[in-house]
Amino acid sequence: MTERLILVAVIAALTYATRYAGFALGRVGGQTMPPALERFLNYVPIAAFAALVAPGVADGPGALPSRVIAIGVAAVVALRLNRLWAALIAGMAGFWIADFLIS
Amino acid sequence: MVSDGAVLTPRMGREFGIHPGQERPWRSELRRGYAAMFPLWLGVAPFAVTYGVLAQQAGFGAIETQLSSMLIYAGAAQMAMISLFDDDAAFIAIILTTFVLNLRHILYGLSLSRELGMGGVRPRRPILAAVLTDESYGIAVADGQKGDPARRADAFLFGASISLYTPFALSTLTGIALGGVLPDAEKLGLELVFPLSFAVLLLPLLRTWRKVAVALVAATLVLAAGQIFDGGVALLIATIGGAGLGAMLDSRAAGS
Repeated sequence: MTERLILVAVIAALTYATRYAGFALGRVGGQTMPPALERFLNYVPIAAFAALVAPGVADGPGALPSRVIAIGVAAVVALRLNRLWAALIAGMAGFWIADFLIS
Repeated sequence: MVSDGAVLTPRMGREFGIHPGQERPWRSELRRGYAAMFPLWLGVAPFAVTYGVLAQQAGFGAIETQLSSMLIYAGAAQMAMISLFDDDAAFIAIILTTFVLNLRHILYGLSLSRELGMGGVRPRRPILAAVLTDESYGIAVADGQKGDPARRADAFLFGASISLYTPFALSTLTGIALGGVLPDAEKLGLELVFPLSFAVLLLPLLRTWRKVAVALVAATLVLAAGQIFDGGVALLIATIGGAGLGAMLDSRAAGS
């Protein structure tokens, strides 16, 4: 076993631990979840998604305006058609067109 | 969601005899979750191909690279791993960094537990949790928001979580096969698919000004923290900071 494989195995195990921990804790807490934690968890998706979007817009492929346009187009299409794939294709198309025009 | 603190999930409802037989079959929910991720296969493929190439350039062998994708199944952590390895970082540093990067999964698990309930899930939690990803979390949350009483949270989540495994593993293999050649065209902005996806998942959640504020604060935090800390830590700071702010604003408003 190379040392790299051991590294991979350790990381895999720890990754699994973080994945399982939330489910295990959530089940133990269950119905008696403290209201503060409840309120906190309500906002986790919003905060996490925003934190996942921001770096991709601030720094990413192409020009910043192109990336912003991509999001704008994706958002509009998502609102109208309510389909993720359509929004993604439209967003990417918007990005490529905008980037082509800008550069 | 009932506002007095109790959460009546469809699962609990079934356990208590409410909504008998209203849920769709497990298998069809599994497939629905699996299919819901198809648009994201588009983003995963170039990412994993790139990873396959870069991992080898960093010194990982073909089998090690492929195994890393199949065992870890966490793109961000894997990229961090090979990047730090390439920089000759100490193994303990690599392990700690990837661990912190993965801590957000705990929040996802807690968050998802609310709709999964206390009872049994299928597959059992140790298996269901194993394949959790940012994207499957996002898609599952979005689907849960629809308030469809016939949905099965566990089946849908599992389907969504395993969906990316195939393109991820195959694309890694493709990257390995490509060897040292990184086709630039492949990367042509396709990585934008991820922030685009999360933007599309985020927008419907922003139903109040408070939620908009939380999103903006989280975005600011991740960019600011990203200047000092590495990506995983910044993400964690932004998620905890943003959600914490939201919780604080809620408790102030409730007067408690």
